Amino acid sequence: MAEAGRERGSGAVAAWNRFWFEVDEGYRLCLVRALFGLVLVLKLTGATGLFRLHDLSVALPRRGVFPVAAALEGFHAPYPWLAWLPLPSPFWFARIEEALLLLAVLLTVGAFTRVVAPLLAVVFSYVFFSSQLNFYHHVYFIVLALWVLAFTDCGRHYSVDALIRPSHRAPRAMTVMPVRMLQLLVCAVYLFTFVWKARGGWLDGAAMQSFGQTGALRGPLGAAMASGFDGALLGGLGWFTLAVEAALPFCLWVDRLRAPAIFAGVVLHLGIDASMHVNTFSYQMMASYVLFIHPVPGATVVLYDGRCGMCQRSRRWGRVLDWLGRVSWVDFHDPEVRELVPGLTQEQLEREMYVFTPGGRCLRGYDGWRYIMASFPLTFLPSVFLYVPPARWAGRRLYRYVADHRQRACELVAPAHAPDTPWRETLAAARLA
Amino acid sequence: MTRSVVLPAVIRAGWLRQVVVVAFLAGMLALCVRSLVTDDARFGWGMFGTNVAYTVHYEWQLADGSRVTYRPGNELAGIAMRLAQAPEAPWLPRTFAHGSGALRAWIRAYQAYLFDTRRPPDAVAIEARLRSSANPVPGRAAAHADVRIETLRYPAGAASAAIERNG
Repeated sequence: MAEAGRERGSGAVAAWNRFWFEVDEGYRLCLVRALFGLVLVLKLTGATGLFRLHDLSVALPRRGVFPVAAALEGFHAPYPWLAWLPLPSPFWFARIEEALLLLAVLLTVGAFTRVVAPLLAVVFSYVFFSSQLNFYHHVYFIVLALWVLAFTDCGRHYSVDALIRPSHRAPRAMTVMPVRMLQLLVCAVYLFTFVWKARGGWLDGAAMQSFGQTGALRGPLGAAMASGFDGALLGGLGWFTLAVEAALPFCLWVDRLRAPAIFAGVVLHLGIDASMHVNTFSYQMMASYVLFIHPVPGATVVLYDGRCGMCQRSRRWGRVLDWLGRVSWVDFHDPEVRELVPGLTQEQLEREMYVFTPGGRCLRGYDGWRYIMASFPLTFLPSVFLYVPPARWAGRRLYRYVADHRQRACELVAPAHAPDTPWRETLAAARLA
Repeated sequence: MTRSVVLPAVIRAGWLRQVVVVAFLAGMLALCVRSLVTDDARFGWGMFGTNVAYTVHYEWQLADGSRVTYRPGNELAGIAMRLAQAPEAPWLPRTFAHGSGALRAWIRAYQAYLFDTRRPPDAVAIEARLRSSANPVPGRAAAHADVRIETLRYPAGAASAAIERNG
């Protein structure tokens, strides 16, 4: 039986145990469960690929995603050690396809996850290993992720299970181990993809040219790259790919580099998806970025004016967008806040919004608002434009104008209660700029 | 600064959890290194590292030393059609993005299947003559690309390989 407590001592063993076995709330894992379930639904219905957006069609399920039936009468297993696996008859294989789609939908919504996740892992692995797809990386990645999810309480949040769970049943303590496994898996994918490409023809652009000339590049972007881009441009795209793949395994772990790294990764994968047939690979990798955010639920703290109607409305919108529960909205009129941040005066707090990050930074006004926007999944990509220099200049002035005039637009409302999140720890650790 | 503001509680890890972690790391690393050593990207995250263009030709070797060409038939379907001999073309018509080691391994598995299920009575071996080129660019490839020619034999025998330098 696992016992939760503070890790004593220091050194490599303690750091190892902290890294692998610290208590985790499970938000990241549960969101990854929902996103990977969605990816599976896309795969099983055939609704993938920006490169073929013009003729996208959906089937429930799409037959032939797993070419098992095609191989019944002949050679089917690239691995001799898998030749013993029995192949289902076409009738039963059709039932398996339907069952997979149903299980994927249940995983996405988080219904009966303690049963659905292991069952899906078993059935999907069987189809993977018994079909000719058993060397495709994106399918292999799904297999590994499903097995990690199969052994965890991945229906704890964002799920039907959470809605119908009896209120008296508190979930058991959970380690961060499955999250770490998936994080390292993501890093290994990027790192070894980079190593493979760096020793091939990617540095001189030959590989990109070859892929373009032999029909691997498709769709609007792929066709333009194959026909309109010269060798230097294709070489430049190759270098961009290499740079992103080399940087991601390291930058994803660094607080200040994470957001630009994720942005670069999203650009890379959207570009790949618009120019190559890589099935759900791009979506899987983008979904897995969720694993690297949200270190502590509610540990980002926004100090707002709880007596201001406009600020209250901003808070409500923020909570709607905060799918991961990353932000604690705390009324600065709370006496406890003033004790925790004695360096801030009432006048400063009334003048602009203050945001305290889990990393100990203090951001004010427009900068804090921008950080919050970058923290929400839905506004992450658009928020990049807020970092462009003219936007910052204009945004600061606009924020200043709105903040100076907000009293006129405000109505006094009852203050909200302080949230039950670790916001006190964030404020206590904050360094005021 | 990347420090988390909340000191984490740690679940005391039993030996089973530690074994799972170590096995996971060792397995992942071993598969990745194996893929690099064998030039076989399967299970090693090396897809699209190299664009290998190739064509493959199969021959039964008979007991009297003669050879008979074998053209794959309906035993290949779906993705495995890549192992079929491609139509005559001025350039290597098929491509593979999982490394030449994976291509060779797949051809060997197909040879084993053929030898076990479709061997003529007087055949002693089946050979696959593989012509491949890494990252070719049609049009300029004839002048620049090296074509590797190798013979894969099943049951295992002396394999041969040669580089045919064009231009």
